[in-house]
Amino acid sequence: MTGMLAGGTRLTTSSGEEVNVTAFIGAGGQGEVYQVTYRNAIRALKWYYPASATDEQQAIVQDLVARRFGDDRFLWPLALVAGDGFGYLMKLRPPNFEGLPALFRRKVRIKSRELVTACIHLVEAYRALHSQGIAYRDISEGNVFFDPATGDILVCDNDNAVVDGRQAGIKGTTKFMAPELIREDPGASPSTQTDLHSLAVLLFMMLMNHHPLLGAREYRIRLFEENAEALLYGREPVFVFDPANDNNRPVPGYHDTVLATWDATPGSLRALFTGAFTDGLSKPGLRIRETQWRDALSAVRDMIISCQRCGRQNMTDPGEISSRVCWSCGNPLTPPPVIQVTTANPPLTRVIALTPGARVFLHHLTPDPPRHDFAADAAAAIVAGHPRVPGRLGLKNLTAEAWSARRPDGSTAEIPPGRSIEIVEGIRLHLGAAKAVIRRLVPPDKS
Amino acid sequence: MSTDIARWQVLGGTARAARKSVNQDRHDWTVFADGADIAMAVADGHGSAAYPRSDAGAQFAVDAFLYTAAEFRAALEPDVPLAQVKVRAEEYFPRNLVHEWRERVGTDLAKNPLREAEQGLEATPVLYGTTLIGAMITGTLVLGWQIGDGDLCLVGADGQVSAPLRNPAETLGDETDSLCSDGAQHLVRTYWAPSPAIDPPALIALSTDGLSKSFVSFEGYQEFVSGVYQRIIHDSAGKVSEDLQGWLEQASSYSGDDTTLVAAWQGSPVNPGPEGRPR
Repeated sequence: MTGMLAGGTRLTTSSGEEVNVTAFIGAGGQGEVYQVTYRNAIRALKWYYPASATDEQQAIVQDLVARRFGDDRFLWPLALVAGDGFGYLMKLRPPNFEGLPALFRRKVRIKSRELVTACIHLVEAYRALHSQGIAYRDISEGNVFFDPATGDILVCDNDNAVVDGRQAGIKGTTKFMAPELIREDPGASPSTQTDLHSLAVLLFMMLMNHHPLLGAREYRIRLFEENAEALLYGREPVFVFDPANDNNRPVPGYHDTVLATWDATPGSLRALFTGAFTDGLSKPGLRIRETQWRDALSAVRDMIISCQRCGRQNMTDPGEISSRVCWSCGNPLTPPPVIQVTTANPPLTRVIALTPGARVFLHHLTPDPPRHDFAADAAAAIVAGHPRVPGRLGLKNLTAEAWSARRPDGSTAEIPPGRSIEIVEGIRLHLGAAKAVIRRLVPPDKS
Repeated sequence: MSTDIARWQVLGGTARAARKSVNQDRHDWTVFADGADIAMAVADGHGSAAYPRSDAGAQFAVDAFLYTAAEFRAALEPDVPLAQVKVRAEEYFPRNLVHEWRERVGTDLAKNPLREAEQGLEATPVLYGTTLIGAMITGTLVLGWQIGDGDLCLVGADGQVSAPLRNPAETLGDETDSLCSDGAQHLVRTYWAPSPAIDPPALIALSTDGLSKSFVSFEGYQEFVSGVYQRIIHDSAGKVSEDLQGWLEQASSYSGDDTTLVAAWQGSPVNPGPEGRPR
């Protein structure tokens, strides 16, 4: 064991409960993390380096502990721990969660659906935090973990989060910081508004595997250091795909990844990124809000389809699917039938590709769901094969209530829980309060 | 003036595989301030037909590493917060290393266009594909960087041996990350150990994969590294230097690959002096 705390060290929480240090986990920029036992459970302890163990930091941790923010997407500080220095307890990150750097290094494989799912969970997590009036202030690749199998996420290192507007030490990680913070503009301070810039950068990096402001201007710099960062991220930031400024385009042969991933990204997301990194750079009020990201990402997730030739998943938009080719093999994508679901009040329409195994979730039936849940028990319907006729697909009712359906010939039917209706263009359904219609986005003779 | 700055000493060697006409491994090191700080690197050019200039690529990799390490060290002013030094180590350094390597490759490509024997290949950095492992000890920091296969091995003062950058996936098959890979800076793995939080090692060894693959198991390789340290302590560095070439040639005959080792160990404390480069 190595680090500031020896194995077997006994510490106490601020309420006097015992904490036993059992193992060193790792070292970071502000402190070290240990495995400990607390209340007969294994927990993680972040222990600050002396230089970071300030009174201000201790006050922030105490405030965060007192908030008892119980959101399961955050490894929230559970208790302040004191000794010769201080730290805080949090849950231990489960082993199935990977860090984003592993994703950027391509050491973790994740399919498009789970990647987009992780993005949705991320924006909803920060929406939940911001709705509490708390700014995270240090959104970065180092603070988010994800489960490649499900897209579930965990946000850690929450000890820099403070009430929006409160002045406190840390400003963030430079490449994720809003330009006005890097420039130290008068009155600029970390806030939920600057979090939105950081969130946009993180989403871009997750989906494009590249930083949105690193292009030809970065390539021309021989020795990259703090001044270069300040220039490229703060003083003169230019989006690599800025439609009005082409002097920072990705350099072929050096920035090939982002050239490929941008091409594979649906127009709806490209439009949001363009807004975030053009107007949003200089006008904080025009930054993309969490709900805008959520709605766009959710719509894209609903339209992820697999290439019929190579099987790779492709992100698409309903409006442009007929013109898209597979990002991997170049084969034209075959548009599947879709179900168009319209919520009751207010009416909001979503389009979901009806590919084998696709699900209509309960959040599809609600205009402003508090949270997207992609678990099997959160599904309202699933596309399933006919038990006896290969190739025939049906939509199975997974809810506890019967659906009503009207076929194109005018006949009606009731679909009880557990039963299916064959997927046929023109069928109209009542899914509880929501209405739905099955249709094709492209006529069969053009697909 | 007395001081407790540890003095680092370095030795290294390489052996060409018998079946190969060119040794595509390269290694080098720089000693700063009379041994108070060091930087060292080994590189393993890919060698196959798709990488006909990988011996030059490996040399460029070692040169680029030592240049980048010197720049990194020069910028380490005392008032730079540790968290920012970590950013420099984990983000700027890999980026600058890859950039420097590509600069050298680009210059070489401009001077030496595709030869007849290279027809069918594209004039890109892929011609120069190589792995790289580098380490640096400066002040209270022990740092390591690795792209692709090979091994960075630490021997603690208590004799414990560790390989903190080891990626078991790298040992499966012949595919490896490379300085010529797309987005290579993101493929660089970094070891970060600030003291006193983490005790500095007694010995740090870098080797190309030809060495560890000559052993039946990775544990056998670790025992070898530990043995090198014991011999330095109990025999002498001079004796180990004399014997090293024979060990590497033997290892190369087992692994069938070029084999290179560079090792640095803590010697006696010295007064800090002008920068030197004993070779």
